[in-house]
Order: sequence, then C-alpha cells, then structure tokens
Amino acid sequence: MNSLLQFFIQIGKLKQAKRSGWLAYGIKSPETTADHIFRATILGWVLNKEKGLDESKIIKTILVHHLYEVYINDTTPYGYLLPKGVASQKEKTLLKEILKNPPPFNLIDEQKRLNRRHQEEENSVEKLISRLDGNIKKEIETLWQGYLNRKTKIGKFAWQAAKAETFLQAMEYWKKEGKIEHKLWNRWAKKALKDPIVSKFKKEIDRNFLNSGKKKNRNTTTEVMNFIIEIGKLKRLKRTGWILRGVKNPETVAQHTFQMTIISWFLGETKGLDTNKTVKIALIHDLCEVYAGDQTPYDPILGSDKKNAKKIMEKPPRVPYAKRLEWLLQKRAKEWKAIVKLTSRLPKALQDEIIELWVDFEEGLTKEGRFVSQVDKMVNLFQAIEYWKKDKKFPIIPWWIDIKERIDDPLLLKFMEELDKEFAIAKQGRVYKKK
Amino acid sequence: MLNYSVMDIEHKIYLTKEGLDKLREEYESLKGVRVEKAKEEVSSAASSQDVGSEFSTFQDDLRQLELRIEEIETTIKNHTLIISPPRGQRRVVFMGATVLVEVEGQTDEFTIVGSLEADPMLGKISNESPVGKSLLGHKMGDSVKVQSSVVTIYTIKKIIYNF
Repeated sequence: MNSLLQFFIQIGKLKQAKRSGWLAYGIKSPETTADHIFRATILGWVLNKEKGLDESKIIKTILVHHLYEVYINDTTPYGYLLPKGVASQKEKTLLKEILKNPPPFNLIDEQKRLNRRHQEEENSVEKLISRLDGNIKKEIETLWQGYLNRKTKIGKFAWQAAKAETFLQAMEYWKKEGKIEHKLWNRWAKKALKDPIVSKFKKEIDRNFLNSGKKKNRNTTTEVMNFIIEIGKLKRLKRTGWILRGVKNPETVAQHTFQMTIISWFLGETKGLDTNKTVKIALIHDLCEVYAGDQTPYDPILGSDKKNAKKIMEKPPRVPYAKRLEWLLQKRAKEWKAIVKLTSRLPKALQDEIIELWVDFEEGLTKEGRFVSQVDKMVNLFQAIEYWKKDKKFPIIPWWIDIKERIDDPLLLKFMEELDKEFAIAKQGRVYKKK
Repeated sequence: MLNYSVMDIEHKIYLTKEGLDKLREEYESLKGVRVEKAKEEVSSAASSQDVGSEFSTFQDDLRQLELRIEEIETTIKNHTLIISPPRGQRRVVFMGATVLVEVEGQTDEFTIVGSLEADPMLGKISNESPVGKSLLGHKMGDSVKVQSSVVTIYTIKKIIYNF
C-alpha cells in the first residue's frame, strides 16, 4: 500500500507542471499537464464512441500518456532552440521570432532527438512504476508503450485524441490571448490528425474558431466539441475549499479529477472492481461544476461571510440537521440541472451514460459508485496533507476527524492507515496539542 | 433478527425498514424498465439495418441494468433488518441508534446505519466507519476515543431509537 501512496504523491507533481509550449508563447496562467490529461481523456473516450475500440484501454492509455513528466520536463518540437530563461526583452523577441516558423526539420537530427527523448521518457516511467504491484505495473507499461510506439490501434487513436486536445487548447489560447501562431498549429494538425474521426473533430474546431462570422450548421461533432470546450472550464476552476483556507495556487477541479481518476483505477483494481466503470465515474464526477460551481460542506455555515472562513474551517463542518438537509437538497438540485444542461445536446446514449454514472456517484447505486465517492473524500484528505506539509498552519485536524466519520470501505481504511503513517512522519515528532 | 452482540456486526448487510422498502421499490421499477428495454430491442432491430454502435450501447445499458437488479436481489436476500433493541437495552448504542455527541467542543448527531444506507452529509454514518464502529456498544455518558495520529474523543450525550 505504501508504494501506491508514494506513486499517488509523485503524480501529484503533474498538477503543478505548466506545459512548456504555452509558457514559451507567454500564455497567462497556462494549463498544467494534469489539466491536459483530464480533458484529453474525456475527449478520447467520447470520440471513441464512434471509433469503437476497447474503451477501457483508450481511457487508461490517455490517463498515463504523460506520466513521464513526473521526472522530466515537457518538451516542444522546438527543443533546444528555445532559450532556457526568458527575462530580457531581447530574449522575448528572439523567442517570438523562433515561434513564428515551424520547427526546423532535419530527418537525421530529428530521429536522433526523438530516440533520445523516448529513452528519457521510458526511464522516467520505469522509475515511477518500479515499486508498483506486478499487475498494475504491467498494465501501465503495456498501455504506455502502445502510446509511445503508436503501433497498435489503441496507441494510435489515443495519441490522436491527446493531440487533438492540445490543438483545441492552442486555438482557445489563440482566441483568448492571440499569442499562438495558429496557422502553424493548423498546418501541423492537418498533417498529424489523420484518423477520420479525429480529423472530423479538427475540422469542427477550425469551423468554430476560424469561421466565426459564418452561420454554422450544428451536427453531432459540433455538439461534442462544444461539450469538450465547456468542460475545459474546469481547467481554470480552482477548488473553493482550498481558496477559502488560503492555499496559494490551489489545484483546479480538472487536476483533482485527474489524480482521483488514477487513484480510483488503481485502488479499484486492487479491490477487484470494474475499473472501466470506476475510472469513468471518477472522470465525470465533478463535471456538473462547469455550471454549478464548486461547493463545500461549510457553505451552510459560511453564508456570505467569507471573511471568517479560515476560522470556521479550523473545525469540521457541524451543521444542524435541518439546515444541512436544506442545503444538500439545493446543492443536488443545482448540480442535477447543471449536468443535464451540460450533456443536453450530446447524442442521447452518451448523455444517458454520463448522467447514469453521475447519479451512481451521487447516490451510490453500485459498488463502483460507492467506492469512487469514498475515494473522493480520501483524495481530499490526501491533498490536505500535501498542503499541510507545505504550510503547517493549514488546518489539517478537521480533515482527520471528518474522514473517520465518512469512510467505511476496508481497502480505503487501510489506505487511510498508510496516510496516517505518512502524516506521522511528516509531523517529525511534533505532538498534536488539542485546543 | 438482529443479534444484539456487537461483536459480529461487521460485514453484514444492514438495512433499516425504510431502506429496505426503498430497495424493493427500485427493484420493481427496474424490472419494469427491463421489460421496456426488451421491447425497444425488438423495434430497433426491425427498423434499422445498421444498428452496430447503438446496439452495443444498448447491450451495455442492459448489462448495467441486470447488474443492478442482481445486486438488489442479493441485498434483499441477505440483509439483516435493523430493529429497535428491547426497552431495557436502549441506553446502549446499537445499529439504528441516533446518537447525540460532543466532539472537540462541538455537538453533532449521528444515526448508525449499514454501509448501503450511509450518507454522512445527512448524519447517517456507517457501522463500519471508524467512528460508527467505535460508538457501537457504548452507553450514555461514555467517552469514546477514535484513534489515529490525531485522537478524537466523542462523548455520548444522548441515545435515541426513533423506530
């Protein structure tokens, strides 16, 4: 269990890893690798509905496709040409000039660079998974190799879907901040995104971002693209609970979802659950927050009094039953409306599936739904400990009290014990004094 | 019949009367959905030559439906109904009890239910959760320690059986 815990801590780094390409363009607050993985995974899942490949493998491949970045930085095709630090005006001008043109291409040099890079990525993944249990380790190795070599249908399609997400993000940044060389991106995407379904999606992106004045006919691909654009908002939505506690640069909903999905997958596998289902439930569990926002159990006590939030959050949220019930019913109604609105224009079967998975998470209809719902709580404690490690003023005690009232799954209780050990080590012998 | 020894309460499927009724209701409703789905299958196959992806989604739906129906059947078959303890034992926390506690200077109220009905946001906590498990078997006035590197003490102020 400790090797899993250490793995989960390591992949948390992807929530902070800003993607280097966007940094090079000077994008304000660019997405992180975890943000990208979140949306790319959903995009791959949704596009695969038409493609019809093994859904579970597509989803899991995209989930692991950038894990190597735990140890090595993200790169761009411009590689060594980009200056390391961009501080002076001269460096900024140089960078702009480089990015105006396609990356210089020499077949031999490029092949050498790619081989070197692949070796680094492989070493990084090996290091990351070295202590994992045999089955999970093997599964990640197979999925990741499939992605890296793109020799299998799954690997090829997962690669295409992940790149389509990056292309969409490029166009979104271009529209918002104008700093992206969108024509270069378009040329690249036209060449790279050859799969007929992904290519159709790419054309829809073009139609949306480049032909903005023209009237558009809506079709299924339009609706899928609009859905993907909408859920992209979760890459920018910082989680309320951390903001109210004064955490600097807290995780986004997308980043939380990425980490929680991997944890649900691995622990679900250990428990013998249907991991395709656990992963999908985890992926969609917070989608309603696109419109409903991120609410916390403290909301009924906080009201509009956000000034005292930090003080109130030093204790668990004990709310009288009637008030709690009223708030909960309002929250669930708001979230229900949001998930229906978000999925309303998707193909009926897909909408039904997303809503069923979401209801399962909320109501605990199946063992997978109940499990992922508890993983969500556990991941929050896990993240709280990470914030507490960085800032010992972070109110960690309420999290420990709360979790012991909420969790009852035997495997998660074991995981909690492991977290407890980690917490005790981090306290470095400091004794908790009750107030 | 509920066994009032608190030693063997783990891993049983506990349900309140209300929970059991809800499950039975869902079971009947899902059986109705199953019949409707079977009709859809016939009409879909008759009206389309190419039902490939739609059909696989349909089958997947049906599989999920069957799984849920099966899960409910197993639960109903194997459940242990939570019943109120005899009058003389109501000063002790058993399954189904609503317990008023004081914890770290705050007060709260928990009803101890089985895992399937647990909804901590509504104060229904599982008998298999660390707090639920610790409270069981204790009396009014007892202080119950819930251990980890953060120790929490729950003092039982009142025990109510509302059913």
